[in-house]
Amino acid sequence: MGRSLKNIYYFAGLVVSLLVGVAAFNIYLDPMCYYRCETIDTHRATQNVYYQSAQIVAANPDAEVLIVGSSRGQTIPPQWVEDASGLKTVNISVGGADVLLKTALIRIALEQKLPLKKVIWVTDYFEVAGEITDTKVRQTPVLSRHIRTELGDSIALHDRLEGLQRLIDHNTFEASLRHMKPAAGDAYLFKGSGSEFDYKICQKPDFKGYTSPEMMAKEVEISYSSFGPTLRVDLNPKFMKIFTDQVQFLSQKGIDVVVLIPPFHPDLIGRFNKSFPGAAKIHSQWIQRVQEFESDNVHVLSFWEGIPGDDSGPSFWNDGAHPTCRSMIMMLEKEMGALGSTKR
Amino acid sequence: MLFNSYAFLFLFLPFTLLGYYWITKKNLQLWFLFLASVVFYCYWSKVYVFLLLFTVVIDFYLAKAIFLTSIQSRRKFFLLTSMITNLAILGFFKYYNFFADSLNGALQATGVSAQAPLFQLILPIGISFYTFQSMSYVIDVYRRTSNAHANLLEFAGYVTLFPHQISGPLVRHNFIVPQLESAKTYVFNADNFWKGCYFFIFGLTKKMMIADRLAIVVDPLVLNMAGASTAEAWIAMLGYTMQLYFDFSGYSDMAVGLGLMMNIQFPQNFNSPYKSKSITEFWQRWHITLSSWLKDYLYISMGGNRKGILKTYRNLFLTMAIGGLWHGANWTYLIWGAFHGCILAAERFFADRGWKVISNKYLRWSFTFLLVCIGWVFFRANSVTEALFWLKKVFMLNGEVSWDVTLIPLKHKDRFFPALVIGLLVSLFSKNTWERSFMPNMWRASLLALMFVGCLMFMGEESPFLYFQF
Repeated sequence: MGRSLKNIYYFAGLVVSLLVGVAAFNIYLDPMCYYRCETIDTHRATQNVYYQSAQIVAANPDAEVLIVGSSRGQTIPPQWVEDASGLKTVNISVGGADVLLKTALIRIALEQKLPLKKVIWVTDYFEVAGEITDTKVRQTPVLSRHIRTELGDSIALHDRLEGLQRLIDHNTFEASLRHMKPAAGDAYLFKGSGSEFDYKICQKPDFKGYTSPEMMAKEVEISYSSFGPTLRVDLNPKFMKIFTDQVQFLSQKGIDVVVLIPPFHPDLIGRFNKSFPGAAKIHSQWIQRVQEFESDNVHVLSFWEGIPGDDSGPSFWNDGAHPTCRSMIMMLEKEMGALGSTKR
Repeated sequence: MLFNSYAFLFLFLPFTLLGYYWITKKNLQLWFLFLASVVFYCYWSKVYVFLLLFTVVIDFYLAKAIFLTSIQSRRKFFLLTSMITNLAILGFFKYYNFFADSLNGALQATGVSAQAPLFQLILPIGISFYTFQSMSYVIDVYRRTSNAHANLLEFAGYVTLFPHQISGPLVRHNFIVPQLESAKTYVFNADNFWKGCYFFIFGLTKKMMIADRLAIVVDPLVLNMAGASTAEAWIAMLGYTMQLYFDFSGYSDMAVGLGLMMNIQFPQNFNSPYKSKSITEFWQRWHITLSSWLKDYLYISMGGNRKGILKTYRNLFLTMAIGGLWHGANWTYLIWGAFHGCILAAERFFADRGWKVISNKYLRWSFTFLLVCIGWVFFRANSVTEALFWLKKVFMLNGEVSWDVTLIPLKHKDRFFPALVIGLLVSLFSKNTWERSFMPNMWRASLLALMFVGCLMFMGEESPFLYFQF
């Protein structure tokens, strides 16, 4: 056998061995809960933020109010809702959450028999736009088994192939490496997102926010480039139907639903509407359809046109897409029966 | 289908290689290779594959007709038919909207209400490459620098050959067809296969570990240039300079590697272009197959340097401006080409007089590199206004100077800056893929395996090659 051929065989053998090694390492540690997490274990450390949301639900069996949203809902302090409404609250908002993830998390809450009285659904246009749901949701068995019908059988093979790909994906590998370090603890299990905010500070008249006025223009620029494309994607009727059905289902179960439509930074949405008037029209149609949900126990709060008194500054905005805790409280305080209104 | 995709690496390539070597009859192997290339193209478009095949068939028979007749007027007629057909197809798909849009703008400015219609056209992928390759064959036969090929399958195999089908290298028929005719090409050769693996994996690594890491930061920086600081404008310019080189030379290396796996040798397309000490040298090192094509079929056709000094400068300028426009229907490409054309003409002017404006080689290199970077700003920007705005920021001409780097998200910084530094070091100080012998041994095989698996781990984020758009 020639030298080249020998080394080609050696190369091929080493590639296969390395791939098997990486896959075995990732399966063994399973940092993302893709392969060896069939149930919700509240003590399991994981790098999968969606699984963490499910853990928060399971760790709060007495929660009566559930806040579901994307990163834009993460600034609602659950303690404020709890104090304002007198109901135990958790905020399971998580970055990138789409309608299927929110549906899965609500179904987990119902399966865990949480005594739900109210669901605050912080809705985003992009959760009902596009074609596919996040890979992380599809690959997390704890979540995907709750939305099997919605995902459909047609993508089962695709999911399996994607699962194989995830076995050697750099994200999974890096998560495994990170996972080897001791876990920081179960702090995230407390009341979920927004727990870190002292709402009394958020409500203070001199609340300054978390960014500087000088940085705001740059923050808006960055948000425009990351959120702009998702705002241009067409509305997906399938996702819109899932959203509608889920709200109706909760309503029929006697659970109050508050659908909150938060705005974007005035500069961002102004620039977007000017550049993409067609997409802006679709947003109006979407808002109109969401407003049609309004019934006895479904309340739609649309602030798409802006938050009253918004000065576009850091006290109202963390960046171009994320309202501050102060803004979120202002949008919800009327609904919650304010515990000391926010000074404007 | 991207070379850096699972579908290509684990389905198309193994199946094609196995079929290619499993079949033992030369003619059937060539048929198999041709059909595999057609399937590869169909992955992009099942409709436009007919356009590719049409180009192949029409140019093959027109070249044959030119070869078989000795009457000059007929030869010219067949040549013109080929030129008009090829350029009409290319012009319609690639340039129609650009010219119609520019015309409409001019008409509007002069108060004329008539408007040329604009169409929603999808550019057939690889059209610029296969049209040029096919056309050059007809021109060669017309110029009598080549005979007509006897076999349509071999010619079709050359034009459609999947490794260079989409983005080159812009290979010549007389370089590839003889290889397709040779029986030796169809017999497995472990030495070539090893070299093929080397080129392919180094190219894949250039693309995935450097170009794509840079793109994650460069793309948003360019998009948000309005909010970028002086430092960020520089980072975007340098980042794109490296991204483009590692993306395109990575693709070229992968194409060379794939060819070698099938015993087909492609020419070198990049020879450490950023080491150049003049723009003239740069064009001898950057996209070599295109620059030699432009020289042979455009510059020389316009008279080259045979018609006096002034016409030589004009020809240099026009060749580069047209070469710029070949990349895309946008004023930015035209300006980029014209910019290089002007510098080439100026360098020629100085050389003709024996003037050496900058004698220090480090200064010459720095100046050349800066000019290349400035050119890339036009190449990358979406409009001339955007390019000028970007350059104003780079050279601090907009009245604002700031050195903060806030537009680059923290999560990308830890990959972007190492990739940029490695890119600079490799492109400026290291030997390129062609300068290494990379003889087979266990260490090198281990290195290749590590690089390949490392790339596979990043394969989830498919990203197309920059030159696919041209």
